[in-house]
Parts: sequence; C-alpha cells; structure tokens
Amino acid sequence: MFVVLLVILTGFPLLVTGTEIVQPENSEITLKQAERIYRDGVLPSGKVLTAVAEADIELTGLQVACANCHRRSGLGTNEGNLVMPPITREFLFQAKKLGREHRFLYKTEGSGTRPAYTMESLKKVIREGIDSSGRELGRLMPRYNLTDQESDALVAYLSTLESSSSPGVTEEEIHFATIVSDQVDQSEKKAVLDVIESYFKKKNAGTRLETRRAENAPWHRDWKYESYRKWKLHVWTLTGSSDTWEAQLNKYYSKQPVFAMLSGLAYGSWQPIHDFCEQNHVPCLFPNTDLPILSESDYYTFYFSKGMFLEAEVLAKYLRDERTKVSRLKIVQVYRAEGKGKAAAQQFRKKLKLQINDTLFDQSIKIDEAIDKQFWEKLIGEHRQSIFVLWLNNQDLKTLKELANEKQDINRVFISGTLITDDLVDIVPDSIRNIAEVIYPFEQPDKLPMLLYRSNAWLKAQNLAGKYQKLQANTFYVLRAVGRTIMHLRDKFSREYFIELVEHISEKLLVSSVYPRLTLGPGQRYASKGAYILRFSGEKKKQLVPVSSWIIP
Amino acid sequence: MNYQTQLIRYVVLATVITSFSHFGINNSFAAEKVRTADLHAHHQVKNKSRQNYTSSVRFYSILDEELLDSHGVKRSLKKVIESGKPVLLNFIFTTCPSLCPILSATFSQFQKKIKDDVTQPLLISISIDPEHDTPEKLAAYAKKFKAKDNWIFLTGNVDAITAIEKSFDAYRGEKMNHVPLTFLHKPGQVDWVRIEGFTSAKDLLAEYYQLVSE
Repeated sequence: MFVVLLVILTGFPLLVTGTEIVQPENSEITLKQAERIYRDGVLPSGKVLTAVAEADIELTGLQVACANCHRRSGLGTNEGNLVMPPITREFLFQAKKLGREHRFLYKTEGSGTRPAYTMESLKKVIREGIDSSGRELGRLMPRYNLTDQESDALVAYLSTLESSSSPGVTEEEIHFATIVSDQVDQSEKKAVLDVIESYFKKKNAGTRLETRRAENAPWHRDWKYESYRKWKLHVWTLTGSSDTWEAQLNKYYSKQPVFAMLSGLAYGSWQPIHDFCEQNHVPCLFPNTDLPILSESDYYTFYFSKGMFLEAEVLAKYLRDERTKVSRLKIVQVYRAEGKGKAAAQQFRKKLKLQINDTLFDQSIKIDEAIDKQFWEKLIGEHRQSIFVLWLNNQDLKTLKELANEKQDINRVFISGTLITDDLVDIVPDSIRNIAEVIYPFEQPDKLPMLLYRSNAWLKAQNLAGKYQKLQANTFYVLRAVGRTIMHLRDKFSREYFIELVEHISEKLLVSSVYPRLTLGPGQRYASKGAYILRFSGEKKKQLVPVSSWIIP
Repeated sequence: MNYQTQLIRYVVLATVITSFSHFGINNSFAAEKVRTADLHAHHQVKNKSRQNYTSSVRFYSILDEELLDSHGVKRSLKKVIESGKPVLLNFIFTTCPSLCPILSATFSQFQKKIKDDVTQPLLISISIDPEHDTPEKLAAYAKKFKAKDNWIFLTGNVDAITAIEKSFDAYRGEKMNHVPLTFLHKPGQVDWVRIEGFTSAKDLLAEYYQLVSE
C-alpha cells in the first residue's frame, strides 16, 4: 500500500510541473519573428536572446544576434584572423569538403569538412556547439539558450536564406540603373553620365576576354571568374514633381529589375528614391545629393556624407565650442525659402542648442525675390554685430559685392562650401573675405590635386575631365567601389552580401573622391563624417587655410 | 505516530525529493539555462579550460595624446593610464560585428565577477573608428555593456588614434583587420602584459589577480 502511494506521490510533482517539459504549441512562430531572432537578438516572447561564448562570457540581445557575425545575408565575414563562415541554405544543408586544395576559400568559408546539417543537427550546433561531424566548435561561436520551439523556428529561417537570390542578374548580364531628374543642368548630367557610360564600356571590353578565360580557367582559379557578367546600364530619368517619382521608379523597375543603383543626380530631397530602394531592397550607392535621408536604421542606400545637414551640425558644434570666448551668440541665418539652404537652416537651429541670452534670427527669402543692396543694408542694420550664416549659392552670394567699399557692421560671416560651386575667391567679395569663414566638408583646396590624382588621370585618358570636378570624382569613386565589390561576390549575387562587401571595401580603395577619408563599417551609411572651417589668408586673402582641425559633430 | 501524520510526512518528503531532482537536472548545466533534450550536453559545455590565448610581457611608451571620453570630456591618455590604478586596455569600435562584442562582454563579466577585496582596476576601451565613434556613440555602447564608472571609453582624432594603436603594436591598417588584444598594466611599472586572443572571464580575472599580486 505504501509502495503504491509512494509511486503515485513521486509522480505527482512531475504531473504538476509537467507543462515545463512538454511545451504546448499555443502559437506558431512566424518567419518574421524568427528573422528578429536572427537579426536583432529578440525572441518571439519579447525577451532578449541570451548565449554564452568563450566558456563563460554571457551575451544578450544585439551583442549576440546571429546577423552580427554571419551578417544579414548569411554569407559571413572575416575580421582580422577570424572567419565567420556562411550559413545560408546552400552551405548548411550540403556537406563541406574543403581540403587543402581549397585553402584559398578558407578565408570566406572556414576550413575543414563536415557532413550536411539536418534540422536536428543544426539545432544542436546552435545550442550546444557540436557540429554535424560531432566536433566541438571553437569557443567564439556562442551557445544559445533557445527552447525547442524557438530553435525550430530559427532553423526554419536559416533554410530560407538564399546565397544568391537577387533579381537583375542572369547568366550573362548584370543590370544597373542610374537616376537623373529632368530638372538637372544638362552639362552636369553629361558630366556624370559620360563617366558611367565610359566605365561600363571599358569594363565590358575587358570582360569579353575574361569570359573566355573563365571557360578555360585552371581549376584553382575558376572561382575568380564566377561573377563575370556583362554590365548593362539603364538610365532612369525622373520627370515632373518628386511626388510622382516613386511611381515612375516602380514602372522602370517592373520593366527591368536591376541588381543595384549607382551614383545618379537629382536636385531636391533624395527621399522618394531612398524609399524606393528600401522597399525593393535595391542597393543604392552614393548618389550625388546634398540632401540625403538621415536614418539610423535604413539599410540600402549609401551616401557620401550627410550633405547640408552635416554642414549645419558642424557649424553648430563649432559655435557651441566657442561659447567659452563669447558670453552670448547673436546669429542671423539667410536662406532661400525652398531647398538646400532651408534644410541646412532648420538643422542648424535644431543642433545649436540655444542658451538664455542667445538669439538666432531666420531670414528666409522667397524663391523669386531679388536680393539687392537695400536688402543687405537693412538686414545688417537691424542685426548689428551679429554672426551671419549665409546658406546661399553662387548667384545669391555675389550680391554681397554691392556692399564692397563700405565698412560693414558684421561680426563674422559663414559661407557654405557645398552651395558655392565656383571658385570661392571669385564669389566672395574682397571686403567680406576678411571676416568670412567657410564650412568645408571636403579636402582642403590646396591638397585636392594630389587627392584626385588617380581619378583625374583616368578622366583625362577618357577625355572626360571638365569643370565638374566633384561630380566626376564622386561618380568615378562609385564605379571603382562597385567594380571591386562585384569581383568578390563570386557567384553569390545577394544584394545584402553586396552591401556588406561595400561596407568592408571602403577603406581599401585608393580613391576617396574629394573627401579626405571615406570610411564605412557594418551598418554605417555615411562615408565622410566631418568638415573643416576655412578662412581666407595671405596678402590678398586669396588662399584658403583651415581654422580648425577636421570637425566631427 | 498515527497513520495520517505518517502519510502527510511521506507526501511532503516525496514532493520535496522529486522536485529537487527535477530542478537539479536543469541546474547542473554549466551554461545555466541551456534547455535541451540532450541531458549530457552539460559535460561538453563544462570542459572549457583549454587556453586559447597567448600572453607575453612587452614594453610600450605611452603617448601623451589628448582624447575625448564618452561624456565629451578631454582626457590625456598618459594621465589616465598613470592614474595609480592597475589598467586593463583594449581597442574596439562600436560597429564592430563580432570581435568587440566579445571583448567588451568579457570586460563586463570581469567587472561583475571581480573580487571586492582586490585593488580595483581602471578599464579603458579606445575606439579605432574615431570618425564614427563620437562620445555619444561611445556612451550608447558603454550602456549596452553595462559599463561601470571605472570603465572609460576614449575617442579622438584619426592621427592621434593611429599613433596610439601603433604605440601598442595594435595597428593593422583597416579597422576590420584588427585582432583581439587586451593589455594589462600595474602602476609604477614600465612593462605591460599583452594578451592575444580571446579569454574567458575566469582566465582574464586569473591574469589580473596574478598581476596585482606580483
């Protein structure tokens, strides 16, 4: 009797807590939720993912999301002497047989051999670190704390990761697009398109022989030629108001999807094109725009810098740091009511962090209103001893010449290096150059020739060198970056992998357009991050020298 | 003792015993909450005492560069290092995908597990991507790793950072080429312990205890 009772009673707690062992599936984990585990380190329950690496290092959430090391594409990465191998469906569910003859692949795929994973053995390696051949993985790979349900979902997600799934690529061709809006100046448009078309022509002439070489390549080199395709360029012209651009882009794209978008030129905000690229997962590389979209989390578009917003932030920082020298800041901003000047003015107000005695006056000028001597005299008269920030272009700034010979009651003048596209010494009148400072998010003018040496050599050889130095150098940089990146794709035409390689390659390139440095990193989308403040120096104030070091706001 | 009391005692005993054994299975996993059907997995997780790093003694001259900490305050690297406390130093950048999260989580774990009765160190992490890693970005990174007050994050201008990396023989060109390095220093001495590779928190603590007790 006692024995029976004891048996029942020992079973009792197991029955009570039985729900911990058998997990009822009361809700399916969707692929989207599994993707969140993979990319963000967040479990479907809302809790953070946790894991242990290096025997006892506890990691949580974003510190340990799979996508950190294996990347969003799943194709892995290398960092220093570490290899984080690819874990797409193609790699996981096939046996790995990399012997010594494949050692050039160790850097991207890791070394060694193992049988193909199954769903079960994949769950085991993720949670326990034992691979499909029964070997323990190195300590760097975290051992994840996942329930059966969570690991089932994660493994199901991994089986949907395709190495090569992007449209715009066939066996023979890879399609690219570039954007021009119908509003842009025709000679600027020509400057940009000439560079792109010339590069494509040269590239295709080169690959003609590469294709033949690929067919007869020695066994240890054939991986090199896997990504050779003819490059096809599509010039997508956007007409009319920017509200209609997204529809136009969708129309172009449905007719011929492209692998990526390169460079391009449009006035006004890049927003509609940025949104199109985010929605359709099209990498968009370094358009020529001074009004990029500011985002901490958007993924598909790379910009040279934050453009006018960067200038505003740099100036705000520069003036804030000057507070130790002045008791209060009296500033007047002058800008046209629409466009780049206005965007900069708004950002400047936002970032300046006005204190009690400061004043910041916005002088907006209607688009078609003329600027004349009276305008300046009145403005300066009403704001004596103020700092003037002129977010004005060549034409508008030239009107300052009217004030030439009068002693003006201006404290300081700041000018935008982006908006002044002609020679600063020509545009800024003599009397103002004494007190003018230029916000300059580019390499200093006297160092520029050395910096552009390589791209100018290429442009000259193609007979393309002209007056649009910045536009052409920018466009050339993009093509160089894409050329090198495509080569490293091998046959894995994944747009996310392409983006990851662009992030990686930025520091390797020997050109950096007109910027002192273009650097990116995982998740970074703005390659140049600062600006100089320059002033005019020398006898006739014709030389530009930095007042500050490179300022990073 | 009557039948009822005996019965109650046995019920309580049985419940207690079986619940211990049920929970005990889970608790014996070294990596605490690994929930897996394989009840022997904890053996494999436990046997992790292989040393994967190398340590050596080196001499470095500390540059007197002016850097910014995660609060935007100017700090002299030399003064920070020669503050009179033992120092642990590494190089990181906030968008680093894999290497730095491990190195920084190791520092976090080190802070959490260090004994109260030893000299408390200063932990220093210097960014090798100073253009992106502004003080604000470093502050967010510090928060992510629950850094305590004695863990300082530094950034500065590109040339200063490159010079500092070189002075520690840590410069590898592009930031993605960097390797895991941790440096330990005892105040008043010229030499540093250079650790190459990843350590467990236990190993790093052991190295530290050895250093401060020498």
